Amino acid sequence: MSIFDAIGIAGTGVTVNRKWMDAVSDNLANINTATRTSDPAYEAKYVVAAEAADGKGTQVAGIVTGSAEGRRVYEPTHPLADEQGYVKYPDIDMSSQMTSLMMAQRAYQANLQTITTAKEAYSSALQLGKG
Amino acid sequence: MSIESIGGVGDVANTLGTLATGYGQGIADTDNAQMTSAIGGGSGVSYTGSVAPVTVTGTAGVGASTPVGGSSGTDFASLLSGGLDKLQGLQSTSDDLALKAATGDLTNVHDYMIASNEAQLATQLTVAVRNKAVDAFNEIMRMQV
Repeated sequence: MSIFDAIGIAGTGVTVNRKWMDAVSDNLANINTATRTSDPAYEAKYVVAAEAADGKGTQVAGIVTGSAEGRRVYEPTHPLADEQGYVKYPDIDMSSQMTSLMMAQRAYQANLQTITTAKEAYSSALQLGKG
Repeated sequence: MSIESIGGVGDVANTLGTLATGYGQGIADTDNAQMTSAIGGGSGVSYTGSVAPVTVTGTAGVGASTPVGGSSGTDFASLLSGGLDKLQGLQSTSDDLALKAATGDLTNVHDYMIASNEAQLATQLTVAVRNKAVDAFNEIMRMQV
């Protein structure tokens, strides 16, 4: 319905930012996931946003994964440690992930505010017909 | 429920028909307003251009009070039934999402809230339009003949 365009467009923004928060939470959850040095490390997920196909709003164009290289940490007591005593941790920066999380949260709230404001505007227009 | 079918009211009913026709064109034009172009880097020109004729058409139709009688414009009844159809669609979307929310299949919480808000707003809009139509009808029925 075309009169609810503003709400629909803001809704796509909310969806994209929710998926961004999902990706960040996945990254943060796996930040301490250790693997053998012979195996690939957890690859950080990054959401790529793009303009929606119909030109109204935004959408997730895809998920780009980071490097599987990881960083080698010397932990000889770790059960997964190799002969030299090294394990592999994913190459994720906690502070940048937290920053991304806050950006996603603020963008989510901004889109919700757009919906609220549009709804109030439409309700105000309906007040014209009363009284 | 065609308003033109009111017997014995004559010109007044025709005037209301004109009003409804003008209103119908106004809504049809608004539907055609290039919202996408305005958002996609377009200027406000298309928006202004589409709004201005609406005002002119509406005012001319009501002010002149000439019977339109079977004009090509959308009549109020089909306009109302189209609006009810759209409302039905929004309500069923909202109901589907409510079911998903209840069964735990809802991935996007905001989707349901948006759908229910849209359904609520559309209902209020439809009720407001209906009340206005009933008011106009009552006004005609109160008229001294």
